[in-house]
Amino acid sequence: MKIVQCLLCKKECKLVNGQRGDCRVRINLNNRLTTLVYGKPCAVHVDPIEKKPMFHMLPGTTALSIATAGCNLHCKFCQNWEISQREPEDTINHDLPPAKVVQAAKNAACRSIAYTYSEPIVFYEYTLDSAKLAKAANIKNIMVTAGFINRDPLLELCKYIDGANVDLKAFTEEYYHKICGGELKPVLETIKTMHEQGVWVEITNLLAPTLNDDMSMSKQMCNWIMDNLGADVPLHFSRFWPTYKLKNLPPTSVEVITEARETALAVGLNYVYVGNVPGHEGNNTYCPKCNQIIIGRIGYMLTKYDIINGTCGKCGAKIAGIWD
Amino acid sequence: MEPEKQLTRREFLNYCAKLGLGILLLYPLSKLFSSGAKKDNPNISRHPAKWYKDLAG
Repeated sequence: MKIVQCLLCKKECKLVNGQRGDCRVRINLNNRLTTLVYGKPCAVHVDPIEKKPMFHMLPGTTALSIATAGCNLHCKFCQNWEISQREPEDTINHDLPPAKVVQAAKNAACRSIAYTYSEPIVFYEYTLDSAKLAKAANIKNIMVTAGFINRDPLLELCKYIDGANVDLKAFTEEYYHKICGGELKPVLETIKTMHEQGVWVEITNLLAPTLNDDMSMSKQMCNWIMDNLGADVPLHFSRFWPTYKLKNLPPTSVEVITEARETALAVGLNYVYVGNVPGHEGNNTYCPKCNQIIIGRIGYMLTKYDIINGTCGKCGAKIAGIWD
Repeated sequence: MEPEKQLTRREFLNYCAKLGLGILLLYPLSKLFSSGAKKDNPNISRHPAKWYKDLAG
């Protein structure tokens, strides 16, 4: 009996015939690695791009957002656990091959396709083929991912991905191990590789009370972003809401998330946001030079847009991002 | 109270044979139902995946 080793993510599962990987969607079938979710999304929606969140990429536009079952991490706070922690047999799936994904995006006048909700890494082949067709049709591709992937598959994907929001869950290996079933180091490598390859990267950090809301950890993370990616990479602090296996914790307090934003700004990051707190001043984009609001937001809705040809409408400073 | 019945060698072998036969029958049936990628399930696809290598079994 042959054993097949999946090399897609750092887990590198070794599978005997009939066995699935940790992600639940990649299986050794007759000694060939097979994906069970190609062209079978369980979620297909048209979302504001701000929901991903992508704040510096085509603001005010919509993204056709797709996901299949499965994930290679098992975060105890997962908001989408009903699909990410399920086998594809247990979700209601559509029949939507890559060509139809692109057609659906065109029909809905979406400027981009987002591979999101669960984990696009585990539906790699579907993401890759859809992204190739989308790029040819002048539609942008966005990955919303935890970034737990090996370097070679990532490099292949980066050729077609325009933007990514990477969920940097915390800044300790212990947190990744205990809360997510993963590792920190490969995620940091992914973020660096994407940035080097010219993918527009934004980072999300969910602050879970008592688990990763220590400001010294946040500061360490911000310093790493400054040193490795620069001040222009947007950072989104996201408010935790009790769900899945962490219903015992309270929501993140607005004070803590505000303090995290102030810490990141003090480190020198130019664009620091607060997510899941509608109306917070951290929903807006400020010009790093003149400090005026250049994109106003309430939740996912734009209330102001003052960027002209990628520059601040007030002072003319260059604003990093993909604007056209 | 009746004395506890002693299992004879013949009965014991008979029991083992039935158990073995049961396992032999149930194993392929369990594979059929639990391999996950059920052949007639339209809810999933079976598309070749990338990024793997064969290891000696």
